[in-house]
Parts: sequence; C-alpha cells; structure tokens
Amino acid sequence: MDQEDAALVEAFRRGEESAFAALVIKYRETVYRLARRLLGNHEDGADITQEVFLRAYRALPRFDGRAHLRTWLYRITVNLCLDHYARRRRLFWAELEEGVAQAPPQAEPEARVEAAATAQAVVRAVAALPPRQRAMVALRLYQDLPYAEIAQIMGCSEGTVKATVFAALRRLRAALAAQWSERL
Amino acid sequence: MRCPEARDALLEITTGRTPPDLRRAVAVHLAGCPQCRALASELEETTARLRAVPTPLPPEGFWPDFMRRLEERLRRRERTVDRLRRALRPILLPAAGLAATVALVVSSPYLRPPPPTPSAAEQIAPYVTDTIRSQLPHLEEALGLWQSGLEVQEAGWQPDPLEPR
Repeated sequence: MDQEDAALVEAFRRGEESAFAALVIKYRETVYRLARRLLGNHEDGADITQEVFLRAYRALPRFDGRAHLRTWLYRITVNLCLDHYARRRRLFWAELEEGVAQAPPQAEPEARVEAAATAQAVVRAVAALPPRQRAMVALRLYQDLPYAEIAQIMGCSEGTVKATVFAALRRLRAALAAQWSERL
Repeated sequence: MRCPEARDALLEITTGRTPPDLRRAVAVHLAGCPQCRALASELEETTARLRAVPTPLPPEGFWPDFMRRLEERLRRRERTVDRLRRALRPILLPAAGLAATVALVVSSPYLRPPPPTPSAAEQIAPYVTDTIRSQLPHLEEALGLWQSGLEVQEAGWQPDPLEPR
C-alpha cells in the first residue's frame, strides 16, 4: 500500500470521516471506468461504483494493508460486476451505442464515421467475451495493470491471466478480422 | 530465445511495459521467426484497436451527485445500525447479564479450591472404635506414638544418615 493510502486508511480508522472521502475522490474515476467497461452502461457502472465504496467503508477497518488499496478496490469492483452480470445475463446494446457516440471528433466526417464503426465493433466484440476474460482484458488494456496485480484481483496465477488475455486477444482478432479486412 | 518465451514476452510488449533488454531479445527472435512475427503484428494491431476505443466518461455533474448519494447512504446505514443497537439494547443487556450469571453458576464448582486432603492420622481415626480401645488398653499409647510418627513423616522427616541404626 502506498504511503498516502496508508495514512488515509489510518486516519479513517481513527474516526476521520474526511479521510474516507479523500479515498473515494482518489479512486472513484478508475473504479467507475472499470465497472462501466465491464457492464457496458453508465447506470450500472454508477450503481456498482456506489456499492464498491459502501462495501469499502464497511470493510476498511479490517483491511490488512498487505495488498495495494487500488488492488483491493478493483477486486471488489470485479466481483460485484461478475455477480451483477450473472444475475442479469444480458448484453447492453443500447449502452454500447452510447459508448460509440463518445468517439473523439475527427476532422473529416468520413473518418469520424469510420472511427465510430470501429469502436462499435470493438466494444461489441469485447462485450461478447466471457465475463472473466473481459475483466482481465479491461484490467490489462484499459486500467494498465501489471499481470501480477491482475492475478491478485482475479484470484488466480499470473500464468492463467497471461494465457487468458492471450486467448482473448486472439478471439477478438478473429471476431474483428473480417470487418478490418473489409475496411483496409 | 525460443517461440514460447518470445510469445510470452510479446504479450508484455504489445499490452504493457517491457524492459529494453527483453525487447531486444524478442526483436532478435522475431527477425528469424516468421510465425512469431505474424503473431506480433496480430497482437499489436488488436491491442491498438482496443486501446483506441474512447474512455467512457460519466455525464456532466455526475460526481457531486455521486458523493452526495454516497454520503446519504453511509449516514442512512449508520442510523440503521444505531437504531438497531438501541432497539436491541433492552433485550441484549438482560440477556448478557443472564448469560454471565449462568456461566458463573455453571463454572463455580470448577472455581472453588479443592478440599484439603486429610492427614494419615485423620484417615485412620474412624476405624479405631471404642470396642478396639477397650480390648487393647495400650492402644492409646501405641496410637499416640504411631500418629506422631506419621505426622513427622507427613512433615517430611528424613532419618539422619549418620545416626547409627
């Protein structure tokens, strides 16, 4: 755990509520981005982010500090998302459209349409991955975490994470290859 | 470097950070291995496309509202815990008192000190009846001697090894 987090956790344990608010402000955006990438829409991402911090508030006095606080929060996030996904078992096509609408504006309208179509295809392909595979890809490519930390979050070995990400990338490549070859 | 090592390293190179010496070793391998070269380009392209997807952003004004809702939920939870604690206090306090009393009563035999062990003379006394005393007029004297001997033994008396026997 880094020194800043350790100081905030210690202050929270002493009863300083503002220390918890500081932790929320520090991690809320990364937790939200991960939840939203895993669940595919803003509402569920926001609900899960709230739930992550509610659980963290309850469990923080028992947090032993062996892992990085970020790893611990991501673990709570991934577990809540996997539970949520298992309960609902559906893909969020409407929200995927919303994600595509956020594509950065390009100079040429044609290029913008092209970028939006590619982003849409990628988001759909990622959404079609099995949930644990999707979580590992998101943690690696979007949260930029080292494989060892992903292994801690997912509760498996580093080798399993590497093999899973490798398989996921090949699967994504296969799913998107046809579309890319059409556009090239 | 062999293909399995190169492929493991390729995943690191295309999706994360890699030390320069490992990059160089992989580059040397790729120069002589067309299969791994194809795989490298495949991984690189897929990763680049995935990373090009824009970061999802919450709507404008989301975070202040998020913090307000979180604080409300935390306060509500604390109020619920307090209410529950207050509601349970009249039940829990007598129950705790009763449990402590029961525990004390149940454990009391184990807490009492054990009764003192009677001396050897005291243990013999009940067997010396009046009939025995009347039949054996010198018994009192013999018993006196015997009991004093037992008491000395109980007190840890040891014969002097230098005393002639």
